[in-house]
Amino acid sequence: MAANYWNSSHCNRWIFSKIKLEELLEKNYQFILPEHRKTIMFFFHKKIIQTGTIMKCPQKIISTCHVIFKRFYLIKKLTEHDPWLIFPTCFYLSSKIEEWFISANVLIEAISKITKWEYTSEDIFQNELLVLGILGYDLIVFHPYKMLTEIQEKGQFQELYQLAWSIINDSYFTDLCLLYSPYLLTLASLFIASITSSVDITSWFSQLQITNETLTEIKKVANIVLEFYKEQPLLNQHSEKIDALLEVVKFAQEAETKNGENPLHLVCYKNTNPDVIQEMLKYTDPNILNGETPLHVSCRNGNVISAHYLIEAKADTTIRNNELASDLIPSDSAHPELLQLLMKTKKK
Amino acid sequence: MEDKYKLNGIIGEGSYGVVYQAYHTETSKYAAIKEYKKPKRGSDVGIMLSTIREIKLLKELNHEHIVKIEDIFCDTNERKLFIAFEYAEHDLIDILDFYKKQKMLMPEIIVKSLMWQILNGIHYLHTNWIIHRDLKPANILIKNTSEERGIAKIADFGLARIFQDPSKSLGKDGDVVTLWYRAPELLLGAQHYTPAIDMWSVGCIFAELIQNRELFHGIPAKNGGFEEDQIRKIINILGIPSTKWPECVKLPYYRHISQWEPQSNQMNLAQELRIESGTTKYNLISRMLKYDPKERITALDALKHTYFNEPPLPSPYAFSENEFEYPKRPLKRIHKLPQQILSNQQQQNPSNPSNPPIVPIDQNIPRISIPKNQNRNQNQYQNQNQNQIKIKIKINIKIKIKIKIKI
Repeated sequence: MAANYWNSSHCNRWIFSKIKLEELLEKNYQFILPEHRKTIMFFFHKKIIQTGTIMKCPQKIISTCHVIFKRFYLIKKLTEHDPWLIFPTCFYLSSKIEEWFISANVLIEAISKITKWEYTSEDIFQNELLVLGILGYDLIVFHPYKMLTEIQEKGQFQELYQLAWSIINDSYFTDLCLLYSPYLLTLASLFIASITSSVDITSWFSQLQITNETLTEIKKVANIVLEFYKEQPLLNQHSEKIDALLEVVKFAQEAETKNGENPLHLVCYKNTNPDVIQEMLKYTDPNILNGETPLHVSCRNGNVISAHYLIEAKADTTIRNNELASDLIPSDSAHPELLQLLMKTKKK
Repeated sequence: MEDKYKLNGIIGEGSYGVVYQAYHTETSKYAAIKEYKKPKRGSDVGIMLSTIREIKLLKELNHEHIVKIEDIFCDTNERKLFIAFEYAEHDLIDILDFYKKQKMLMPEIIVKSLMWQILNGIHYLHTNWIIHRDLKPANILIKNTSEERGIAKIADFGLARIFQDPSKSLGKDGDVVTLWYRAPELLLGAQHYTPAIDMWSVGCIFAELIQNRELFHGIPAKNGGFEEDQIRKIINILGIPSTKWPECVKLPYYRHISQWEPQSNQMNLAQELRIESGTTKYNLISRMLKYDPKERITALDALKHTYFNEPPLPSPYAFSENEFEYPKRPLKRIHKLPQQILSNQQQQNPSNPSNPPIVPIDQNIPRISIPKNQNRNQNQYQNQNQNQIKIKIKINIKIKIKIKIKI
């Protein structure tokens, strides 16, 4: 039923238990660091908000876009479909779902203001069908705002309304909309707002006959939101290098499909973006062996940049490869720069 | 992989695309598969808003008298979308045409049963905060199989909208409801309206079932905007609105009708429909056709009306006691098969990981043999042409009259 959440596709098909959600994410993201997924999703949710702000569109369109974007990347891999294209497509679809239609050209114009965008409206139209299919054609999305507004219209908790509203806005950065009903999210946002504003809400909760179980759930939601607030500055900082992050994720995915391959080796083979190798070296052993060290790969391919950062990360230049062939000498003498670098390291 | 559907022929064509009659090979059930055309360049908006509305609402709704979506398929490369709806043998127009041809009125039990079913569907929509905004006989499908003889299904949700806290006011959606079934508040340019507009359409449909012709058969205004002829047709039967509906003077187009005088040959609804004004039937229809949307009866109150509690009682199967063979839908040959619909079908559902339904279309579908009722179909087309001619003549007469007045 379109007006009854409890009979809706939202409630029956798109709310998951924590375990089930983790299972689904594991399927698509097992080779990708949770932080990376989090940061990339955070970045694009922010882009959705920026687009909405430029378009001056109602909150509902932005929020529905958040939800369908999240549902899409629950089913599909970040590496398989470019989020730079999927987020505008979700926005376009959301504008239709919420009956606030914007033309593709106007949308593209808005997006061009926040980024250099390389797709066309035709790309959006084609992906619109894709997104529609991935969503299982379930398009009605329920949001926590409605209940919040109803509470405010009854004259209750006027002073919490604004704050609770923005807490709901921020909740879309997290996976909460895949875990809990919009009603619980409304209650949790009021709960957080009441604590920060030192308003007593417990008597109202007991009036609503909220069970202890529900209260525990509300507190769980509140914790997830608060955790997000703690992480936010870091996410902000990390998401500045979004292009590198997307590359890292792609390499991780590629390594997964090529059995036994290591992402760092792939990076040393192909990549020349310093941010990518730096990011990877944050959590990968520079000497990880795969028949040879990443430094072997760099040298063989004359990849000076990756060799530079590997050495900076204290990569061992003495390890031999499987064939026990050689020390690290670039096969091609046309890499004087690389040779110099290695000589320097050896002298030390 | 086994083919899920076989296409038998075309049962409808429109600006949106084509509708096929299809046969589900596993369930042995028929379906109506709507194929949506890729929009032309320049006017391209991707998936049409009306299609999104239809998918969005019908995927969630579940009611006996609302048409169901059985499957959806898409082909992202060709940018085509296919929706399989549950099949209905007729629409209400087919049934009305049949009685027209037989020169008889629809039996009371059928009128009452169909009205009861339609109202049930509307009530369900309204309790779900949905206004249909295009109710008319063509959008009421009638299922008529040996198990389900005469079940009304409300279809075509391309204009339907949720009216609960809308992002944009409903009035900004432009013209809604086909002219003859359009409520007076819409004709007078109201920007805010309510589910009562559906009840007006239901009243018009009710009248059409009773007298077997359209109640308010207005001629569309040439340039859109104020639909003068339509509102005149209404006033001819229901009188000047302002006395019964004080708020109408505030509506944008009221100025056009403010000077209109009651006519000397003023009809009234009971005379027009040839029913006694004391009957429950008259009471019900007159309350559906109240000028003031606030006074118009709601779907729920209509269902509770005594009309439905007195004999003959409405039946869940409108045709159960009926022996007529209503004409089947004419099938047209498929000249161009939709290309390999659905090789890369996209429907996935996280909580239901079973393989998504795929509908490859059999390339070797036998050409449809000419149905037995072909003659009948031809007659139907002829009739349609006649109707068009009639309308043209009417227009001519009207112009002549105008000229005379000028002289």
